[in-house]
Amino acid sequence: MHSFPVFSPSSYLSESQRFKNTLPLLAALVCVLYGSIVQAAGTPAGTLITNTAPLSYSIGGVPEAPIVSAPASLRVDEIINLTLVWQDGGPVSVATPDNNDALTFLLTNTGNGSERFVFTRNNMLAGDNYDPLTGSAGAIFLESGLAPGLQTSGASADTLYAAGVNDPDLMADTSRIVYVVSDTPTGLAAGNTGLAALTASATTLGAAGATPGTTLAGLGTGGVDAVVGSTQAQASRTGSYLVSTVTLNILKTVVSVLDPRGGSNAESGSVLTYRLTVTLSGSGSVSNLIITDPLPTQTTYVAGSMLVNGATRTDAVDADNAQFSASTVTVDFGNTVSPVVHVIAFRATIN
Amino acid sequence: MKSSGATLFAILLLVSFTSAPVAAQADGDIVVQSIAETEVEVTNSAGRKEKKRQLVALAVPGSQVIYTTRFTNKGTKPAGNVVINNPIPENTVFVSGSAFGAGTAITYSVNGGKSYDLPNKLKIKIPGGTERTAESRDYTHIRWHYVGELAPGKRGEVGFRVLIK
Repeated sequence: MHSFPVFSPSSYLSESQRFKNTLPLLAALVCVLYGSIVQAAGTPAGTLITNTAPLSYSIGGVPEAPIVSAPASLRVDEIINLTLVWQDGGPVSVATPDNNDALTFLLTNTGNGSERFVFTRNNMLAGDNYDPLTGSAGAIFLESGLAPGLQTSGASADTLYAAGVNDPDLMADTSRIVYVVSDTPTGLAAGNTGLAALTASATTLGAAGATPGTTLAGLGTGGVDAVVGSTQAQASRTGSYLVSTVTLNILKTVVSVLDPRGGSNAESGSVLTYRLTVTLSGSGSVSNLIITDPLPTQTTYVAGSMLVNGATRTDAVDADNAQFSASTVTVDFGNTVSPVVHVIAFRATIN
Repeated sequence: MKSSGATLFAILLLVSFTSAPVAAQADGDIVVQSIAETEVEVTNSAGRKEKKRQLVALAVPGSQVIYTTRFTNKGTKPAGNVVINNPIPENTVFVSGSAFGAGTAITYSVNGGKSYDLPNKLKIKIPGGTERTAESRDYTHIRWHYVGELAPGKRGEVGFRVLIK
């Protein structure tokens, strides 16, 4: 669930500023970093598991040759699960009109077998002031891995997605960044919000949307059965755009890595210190500026580690402006006059 | 050639003694069979819920499998020192307390089968030099020692449950 700020009309400038909301995505880097350490999804689909029971005995006190039963064998089914998380941490600021602004999502295959996914976007959601338009460069892009952030063209261009043409395959426990790219209509008021949703669906026939536990005989990786997991082989997440004359920039970095031996190796048990630098530029103000940061899936938040502008904050939902709940850091800056810089810091350990 | 013939015979002898230990037809024959099952809850004809077992060939991570091993003395002489040393299959987790076997003494190994003992006597070394009592996730093998002799015609049944990782 995401919250977005609402401008108070009296504080706007008459001109609107063009800008980009840049958010280097450490989430993806961190996933690549320890994708090989954690096997969250379970034993790989198709794995053969055997049980043998060697029995030794003697006759008249004399040991006989031991006997081994024929093995009891089974193969591990594929379980289909995925997560989809909106990565931007706050509404993506857009001008009116504007072109090719991206909402960033992270798709993770949390099942135990390779799976192909198809994407759709929905611009016509309720609860916003305008419907984002499909971007002039394209509707959905897949991160090509050549450079962080969206590039619609050039040497580091990301891949324009076409359903049924280049649906990505993800191996178990791997992730892919997906961009929903939108144009913004003209004539909007600063503070107007636009919502767009991305839906990712597993392409195994009969999986997407099925009741958890549904068995699809023989459709698993390597010919075992595919079983639909608790995520129902499908996920939708909504991101938001905010028409703004004030620029919002959120920079997320890993300030330090501390491994259990006192070094800086990223491994299971290492403590990562994250810093979010929230910068408002331009003149004006934002009311209800709320920043949300979902934790990468393979980390555990260090309770009580949150600092906002150097001051400790409690994790609980209480009177202070920060909380940690539902795997998400949320900080509410309320009425914020621009320009200003806020720094949010917290720690998490690698599972 | 005489020398190569003798060598060939020696090799054949060697091969026959080191082949898989399938029980030969002799006194004290024990037949061993191991099966894998799952347990499902079904509503019986009387409308009541009951647990039913069925053989399993495919299992989802997180599901529970019951391994049952049955052994029968098909020979004419009683068998003694009947011991089964069962490695806990890879990619599974032994379900604590699930080992069963009427008429057997059950012990566990945490060192790959080198030694076996009762649960509260199994220790794991922790970094720092101290020890802790082993938990069921540390077990590598289960041993069933049939108490006394297995008379001709008699059978035993042992088993345990695992969770598929």
